[in-house]
Amino acid sequence: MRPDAVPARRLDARVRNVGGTILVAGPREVLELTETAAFVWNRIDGQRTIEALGRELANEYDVELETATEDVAELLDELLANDLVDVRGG
Amino acid sequence: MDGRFGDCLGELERHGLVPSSYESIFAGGSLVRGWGNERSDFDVYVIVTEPRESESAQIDSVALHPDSLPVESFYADDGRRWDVEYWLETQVDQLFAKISPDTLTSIQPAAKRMMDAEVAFLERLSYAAPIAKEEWLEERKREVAGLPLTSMMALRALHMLDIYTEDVVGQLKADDVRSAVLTAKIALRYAVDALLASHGEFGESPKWFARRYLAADPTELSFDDWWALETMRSYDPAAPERWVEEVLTTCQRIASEISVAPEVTV
Repeated sequence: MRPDAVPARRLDARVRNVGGTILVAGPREVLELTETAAFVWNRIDGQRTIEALGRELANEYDVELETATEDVAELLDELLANDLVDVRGG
Repeated sequence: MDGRFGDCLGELERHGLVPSSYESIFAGGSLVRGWGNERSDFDVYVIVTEPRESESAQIDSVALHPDSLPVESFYADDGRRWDVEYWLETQVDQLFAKISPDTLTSIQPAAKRMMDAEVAFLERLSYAAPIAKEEWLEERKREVAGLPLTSMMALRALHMLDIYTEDVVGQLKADDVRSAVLTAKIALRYAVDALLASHGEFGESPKWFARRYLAADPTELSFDDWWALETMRSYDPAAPERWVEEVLTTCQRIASEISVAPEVTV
């Protein structure tokens, strides 16, 4: 997935906040998001690129930009596989 | 009774609506809540241990055993309509069992089985005003305060939100945009219902939505922002799908911000 790709949450993704833990569900599986995954999920808006999301993650959790961007791409692969996001330009 | 509504017990007795034996009589609804107007009905609940036999009662439905709820109605001298519901105490027990912590793992089916009269009963219980035998009412208020009622009601609404959201997406895909707009309005209603329920404000009727919203005052979506969406201020007839997407995005954000009981899964 390219860093300039732009993800958007699918409008029919089901979401629950179970005592602070975010669960997202597509047609097949329920994913329990880690704190950092939830941080990224909440910022996926159809405008931010993967790189931009990685930058925000890096700033928030004080990690290397490259590592953060890889983490975002990895999360998006999982979300994409579960029909929870669409990705433009990937 | 605190006298706000006059001699309620006497009025009921004059209409032959006080059974020889009962557990409690109390008033609920918009007039007790302070939201009523001169056209509002006065809602009374009579808790009994024996079924009311009456030819004049209308029968409402509940998803309980028995599944019928006798409702007597009359107009008082001041022209106000009174509705008097006769609940068996065992029906109240069954209703409370639906919101016990044990049911939270199967919360959506349990909540779905709750009918309007049951939701109204639970909503009104919290602020009900006693008319006779106050002890029963106070005990039940204490009991319900210890149950996960707001999570139950929020999840019930979120479940409906999921259903309507799926419909909206299907309608958009089929280019049935007009239907998608109308269905998105329903989805928004359930998202807001869930939001208000999570703040302790729920009810069976959308007619008090604005009042409930102001009472809940949720920070997740301000009244003004909700009102703008509800009144379709950003709707563009040339691009109606944009308003639909705005609504669904807001609904999804609301769902992610409402914290529900930790026992519950999607």
